[in-house]
Amino acid sequence: MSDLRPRSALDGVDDVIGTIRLREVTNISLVSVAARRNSQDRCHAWLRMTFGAVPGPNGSESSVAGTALWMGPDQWMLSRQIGPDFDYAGNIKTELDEAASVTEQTGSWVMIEVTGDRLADAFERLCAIPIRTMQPGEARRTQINHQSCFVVLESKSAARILGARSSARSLWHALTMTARAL
Amino acid sequence: MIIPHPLLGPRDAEEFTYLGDAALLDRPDPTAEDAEEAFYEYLYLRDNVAGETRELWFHEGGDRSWLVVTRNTLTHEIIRVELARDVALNRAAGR
Amino acid sequence: MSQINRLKDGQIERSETLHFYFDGKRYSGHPGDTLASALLANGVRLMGRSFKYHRPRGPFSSGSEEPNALVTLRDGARAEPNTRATTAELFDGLTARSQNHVGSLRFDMMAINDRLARFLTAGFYYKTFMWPAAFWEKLYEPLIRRSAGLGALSALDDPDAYDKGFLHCDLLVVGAGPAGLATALLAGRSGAEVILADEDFRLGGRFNAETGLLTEENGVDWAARTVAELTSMEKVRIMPRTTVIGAFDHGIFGAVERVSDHLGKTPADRPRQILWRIHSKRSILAAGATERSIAFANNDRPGIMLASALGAFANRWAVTPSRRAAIFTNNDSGHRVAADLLAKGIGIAGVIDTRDDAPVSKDFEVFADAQVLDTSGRHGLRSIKVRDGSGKLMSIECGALGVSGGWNPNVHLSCHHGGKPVWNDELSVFVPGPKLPQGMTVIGAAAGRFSTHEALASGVEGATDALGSLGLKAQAIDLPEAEDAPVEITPFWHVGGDAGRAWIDQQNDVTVKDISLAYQEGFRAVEHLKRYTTLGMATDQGKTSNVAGLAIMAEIARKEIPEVGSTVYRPPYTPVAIGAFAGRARGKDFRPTRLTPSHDWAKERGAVFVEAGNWMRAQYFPTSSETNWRQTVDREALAVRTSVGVCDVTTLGKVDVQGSDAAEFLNLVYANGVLKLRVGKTRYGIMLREDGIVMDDGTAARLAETHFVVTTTTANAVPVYRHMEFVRQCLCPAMDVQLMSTTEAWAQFTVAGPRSREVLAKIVDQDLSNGAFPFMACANVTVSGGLRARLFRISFSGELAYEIAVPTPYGDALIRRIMEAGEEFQITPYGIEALGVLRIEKGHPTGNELNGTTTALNLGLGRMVSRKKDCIGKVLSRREGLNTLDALNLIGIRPLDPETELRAGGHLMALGGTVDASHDQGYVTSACYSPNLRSHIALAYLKSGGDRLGEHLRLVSPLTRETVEVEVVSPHFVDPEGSRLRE
Repeated sequence: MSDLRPRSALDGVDDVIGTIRLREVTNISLVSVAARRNSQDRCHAWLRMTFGAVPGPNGSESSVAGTALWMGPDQWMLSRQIGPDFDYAGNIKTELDEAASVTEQTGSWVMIEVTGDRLADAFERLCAIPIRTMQPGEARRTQINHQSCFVVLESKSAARILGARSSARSLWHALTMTARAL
Repeated sequence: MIIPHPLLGPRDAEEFTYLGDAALLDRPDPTAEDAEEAFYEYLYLRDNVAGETRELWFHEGGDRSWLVVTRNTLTHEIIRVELARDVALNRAAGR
Repeated sequence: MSQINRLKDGQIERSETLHFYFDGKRYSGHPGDTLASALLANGVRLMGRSFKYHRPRGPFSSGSEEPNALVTLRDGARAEPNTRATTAELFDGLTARSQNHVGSLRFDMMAINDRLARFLTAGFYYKTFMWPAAFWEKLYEPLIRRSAGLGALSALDDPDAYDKGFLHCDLLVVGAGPAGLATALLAGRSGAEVILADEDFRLGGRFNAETGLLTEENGVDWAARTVAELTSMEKVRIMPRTTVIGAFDHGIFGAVERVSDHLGKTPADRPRQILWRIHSKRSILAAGATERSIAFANNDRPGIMLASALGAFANRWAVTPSRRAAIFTNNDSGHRVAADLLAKGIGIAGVIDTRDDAPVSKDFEVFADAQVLDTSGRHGLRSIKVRDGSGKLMSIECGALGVSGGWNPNVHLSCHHGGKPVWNDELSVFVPGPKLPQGMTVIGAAAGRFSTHEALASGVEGATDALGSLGLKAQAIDLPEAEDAPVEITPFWHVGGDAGRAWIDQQNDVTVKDISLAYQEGFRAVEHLKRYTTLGMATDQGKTSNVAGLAIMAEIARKEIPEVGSTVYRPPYTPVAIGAFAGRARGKDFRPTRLTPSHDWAKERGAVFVEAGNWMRAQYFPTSSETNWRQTVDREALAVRTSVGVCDVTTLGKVDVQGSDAAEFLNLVYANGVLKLRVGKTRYGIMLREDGIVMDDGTAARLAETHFVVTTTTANAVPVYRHMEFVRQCLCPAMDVQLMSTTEAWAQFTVAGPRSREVLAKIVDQDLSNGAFPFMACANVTVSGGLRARLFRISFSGELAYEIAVPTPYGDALIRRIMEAGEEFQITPYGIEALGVLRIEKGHPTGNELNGTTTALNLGLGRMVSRKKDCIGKVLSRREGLNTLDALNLIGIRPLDPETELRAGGHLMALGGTVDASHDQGYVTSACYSPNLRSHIALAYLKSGGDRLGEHLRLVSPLTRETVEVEVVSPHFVDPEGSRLRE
């Protein structure tokens, strides 16, 4: 085991601003999976087995094995609450082998959970997703202050944002400003 | 402007990047005798259509799909949106 | 003096008194007042001066169409010029100043312009400031600039915050008058997601301003009850104080919500205004109508206003400009206002009606077939001169005159997509044309359906139609009984004769005479008329003047109004603060900042950062003893060549290319071949655009048979990825290849210099000997006892070098570990300045050289474009024009005097002869001081440069007026054989 210690993008910050709680979700491992040609069926079967169903456009599916999020045609982002020391991508690659192109994504993203009764009010100021009509489990890729993000709605009062890690502090700044401005 | 993405539904044009005429899907044969002339036309010669036009848009802020958007330059109406990959595959099959 | 002109009742809260200041004087008002209504209550009619003639002016309307009563609201940095007193909601402590006068408002020294009026007619500027030309810059322009505009900006930073937001709905209803309320109520009851927006702070529209609109109850009560029901509906969002400013494509609307303007102070962190982008499936325009005026001599005195405004001030705000009022009208609504005023206890001096069949009244005197010829009163109306039906002239004393020339539907938003309004002869108005923005329906007065009954009924029709298209069933709805008076109007635009100036556009001081002058001088097309006279070009955009101007032009030209045409309506409907458009995107928040994984570490070391795109990159790492950036950069660059340095290169674009056709795909994307690249090897490659110009360069590393990692330059990471997706999806859709950007996934560091292997050997778990891991090798490795990592033996500096990558969460730990491991070799962190020096010394191109005009031939890489295979850009790279004998080649240059600085951007000329563009030989792309060569050096493109090594030229920089004699040398200043990187 390596003695190099990982650092999350926002050092696990957790803050309540007004009625909104903002929390960096740490120890999340991410991997993207893209079906190879003629292997869509195998990928779909594996996703169904692992997450219960195959997430479609604007959708996500969750199980004990984590969450699978639709990223693009025949392409998904998988997340699992397990520290970055674990070689999640290597693990998935072993399972899917040449059926899929598997890419480590853990370091690409910061995950921030937004909770509070005024969640919809907050998202209306952040991005163009139809937050009030979205159902739990629905997801959108959108732009928050010029930053490309995924928003996964968990419930009417909770959502997770995946944003680029390099601009995590800008994203956090945008979220806190909006929470204060409600 | 809203582009009705064939997979993701209505999306704001802000999420997209524009490339140009959908004729760019028809890359000429580089080994043909008149390849230079064909590429010149492929890359530079465009009709300036008042009416229906087919264009390539990239959903950069979304699912990274290239789309063929058919729209009317006079009314701004968007008539049809297809995945460029499907269009390209169909063309290859039709050749 | 306290509220001497306050009447009984009205929709104000008399229990609370608010104090405010106008031109430094203290007044009182009540919640529910606007600044204009409160000033009128206090007996103040004079509120400003006109733009050109500095005429005394008071409110002409009671709403957002106001041309006259413009003030500077608030003070200091929050001062906002040209704010309409008629829409500014009163709050305690409000301060306002009048504008556009020298000296006091009452005794404006610039009022001399009014005496000079005959010289200041339409086109005055164009005619006067023509000659002599030399006067323009020094005299005329400063003069015009000084007198231009009404209020002045504070020139201080706006301390308020603005926000933006996005809303979605089935149905957007613009306007909450009778029609808008009815339509929203029906849509809401039927289960639609509704947004109801109104620019006013009190919903109800006409119901608030007029009486007798409903037969069985008070309109104000019905409006309040309806608003209460709408408020209780979960799917209905009511947005008062929200102006829908524009209709955009496909159901998108822009709207400005004034969140805090009505509060004394914007609460901390809260926005002052929010700019909303509303995505609607359907929209209903219920924007009502604006009353139009009649032009007559001196029709601009304070106290003269639209009759509807006089009525609204009395009914809604319980104020009046004077206790004695007259009405000048060509239609029935003027009579209704007179009745309302009378009911409020205001004396009616007479109703002057231009129609010979004017209705008679038992309560006040009506002059049929009569006209108001002129007015008097220096700072406010005192009397009017009237000619009655028999031709008799008389003077009538009054301090208020309400003018009604009929009603103009507020068609603005219906025309934002280029649709033109059409003339309705029966109503004598422009109504929305057939070409409406997608999904829009127009109802009520905005559609020319003027009676209250028609407004309510059209609201139901509009909602029913919208609900049908949304797949919802319209519920039943009971509408209140309402008046259904027909429109009785005989168009009447202006009083003839030569009594004096008759204003059309009050804000820009355009009179009937100006329009006739424009006609005489040939500016007859409607857009010419507008620009020549400035009609409708003020902050009110001619809401009370455009149609009248057209009508008068039609009359002069002996044409029908529709033949003259109409001007184009453009967003925004009313002025919008620039801050609202900027939203949060100000200063540092203008765009996101991207930080490298080593950012915190670099900051701890005192690095100086520079913005590169959105990235903050370490520029150099000064020590405490260094006083000049050059010292630092020289030290860093020398350290790499003599020992070892480390630099964060995470910002380089990285794309994972996987799939059974990955190699074939890259073979098409890269100009050079990658098909035969062995697993575990890396290759330098260039990508061309289809036009044969170099798009980008980078490396392709083959980690497995079906897995490549390619790098791009930092600046091109996004466009290259987009291009690769284009090739994948559009040009080779059948290939089995998948792309994934991994720029951020890996923290990547260059460890460069002769001691780099020794440093990394302590960290990487695998054998790094030259045999095991030679130049251009790549591999998945582990570091520090098992952490997954990628290692590439590639070199940008020309030294023995590696790039090592770990998952980004470990980047901070890895840079610290590398520094520890390199301590015994005095490992030196270096920034992008030293990186630049090292690459210039090696002649490696970057963005400066790949500038969008560069071919592979220019770079000296012509042979890299494979002749054996196809690639993007191959065919057109053969074009004659890109392959001339004197094509530019990348070369190096050195000054004869090594201490002389070379300028990037300078041009190369022959030693003797003329220095001009036609003698241009090439240009410098990158320049630096090379501490290794102890000389300034540069890279340049030079015609046939490859054949001219040793030649002497002049480097000319016309901007800095420098000329340096230079020698043409190889661009590979250091280790041209490339032996160091293979050691």
